Amino acid sequence: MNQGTPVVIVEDDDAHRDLIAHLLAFVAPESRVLLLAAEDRETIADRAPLGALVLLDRRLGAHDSITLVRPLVRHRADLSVAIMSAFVTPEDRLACLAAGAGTVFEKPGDLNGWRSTLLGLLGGGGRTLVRAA
Amino acid sequence: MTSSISRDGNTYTEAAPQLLDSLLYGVSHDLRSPLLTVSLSAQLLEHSLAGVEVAGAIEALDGLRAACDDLERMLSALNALSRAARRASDTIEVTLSSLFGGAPAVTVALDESTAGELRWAIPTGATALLDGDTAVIRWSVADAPDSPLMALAGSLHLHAGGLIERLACLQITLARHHGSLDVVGEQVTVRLPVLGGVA
Repeated sequence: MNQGTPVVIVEDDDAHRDLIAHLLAFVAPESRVLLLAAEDRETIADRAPLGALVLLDRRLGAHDSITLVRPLVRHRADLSVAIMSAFVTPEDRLACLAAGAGTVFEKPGDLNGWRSTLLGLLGGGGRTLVRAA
Repeated sequence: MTSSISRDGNTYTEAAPQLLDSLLYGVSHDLRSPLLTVSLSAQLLEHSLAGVEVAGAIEALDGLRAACDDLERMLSALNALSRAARRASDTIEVTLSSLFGGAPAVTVALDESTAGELRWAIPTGATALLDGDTAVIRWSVADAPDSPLMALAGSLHLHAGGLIERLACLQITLARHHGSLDVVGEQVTVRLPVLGGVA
């Protein structure tokens, strides 16, 4: 994966989804981004670009998205799935990885945290969002 | 007490603990996303305003930051309670003396995380005695309310992120290990069944 890798953001909170897309556009401007809401969850396999990184929110409304992962990676082996959640416990991490997610991360609460996370997922140096305090 | 029938046939009173657990989990997760949106938006705004003087902007951003920190603290407390209730309890044998020095040479069953929380909570000067097949550990905490869990439920704002939150979580996890934690008159008492009787 690199900073040109297409990214699919599946998140039920509209404002948060837009904000992640904004940060991603800043960190990796070459990356093509597809935004999906909770109700689009069953269409990820049909709509994700080839080789995309899928940022999948753990909770999509009342739905636990962990159940989507196994069929998704089985059907689309070219996709990399990263599950993101408000809080991640060690048990959550194990459950997500066992379901076939490539990685699991807790949503960062600051811009530099998001920058590091996105660059860690995509690889490369990227642009600086904010100067370190 | 009146009971209503839920869709799956359980009475409300039977389903209440499960509903409460789901509510704790849902609330702590669902509310953090908009909180992060506010927090990140404030940071972006601060970044955009760097070097530009706008009347009241610094005060407004400080207010947003403080409110976000406060909400984060309270949501983390709800998440800690939810985790305490849901934690997979792979129990291990733990010697009481590994929890604090001077304890009797007996073994209790706990999960790693709860043992770690007890090591954190039990101060130097705690005492332990055996009451039949139960280890009883006592120590004093200034200004501790009689039920940390009730106190936390009564005011997240006051108790989230501190000792009371951690004692409240211990109340939940110790009960799952057939033990208990009570606070009476600022004295904390932990009871844990001893494994294999007293040596």
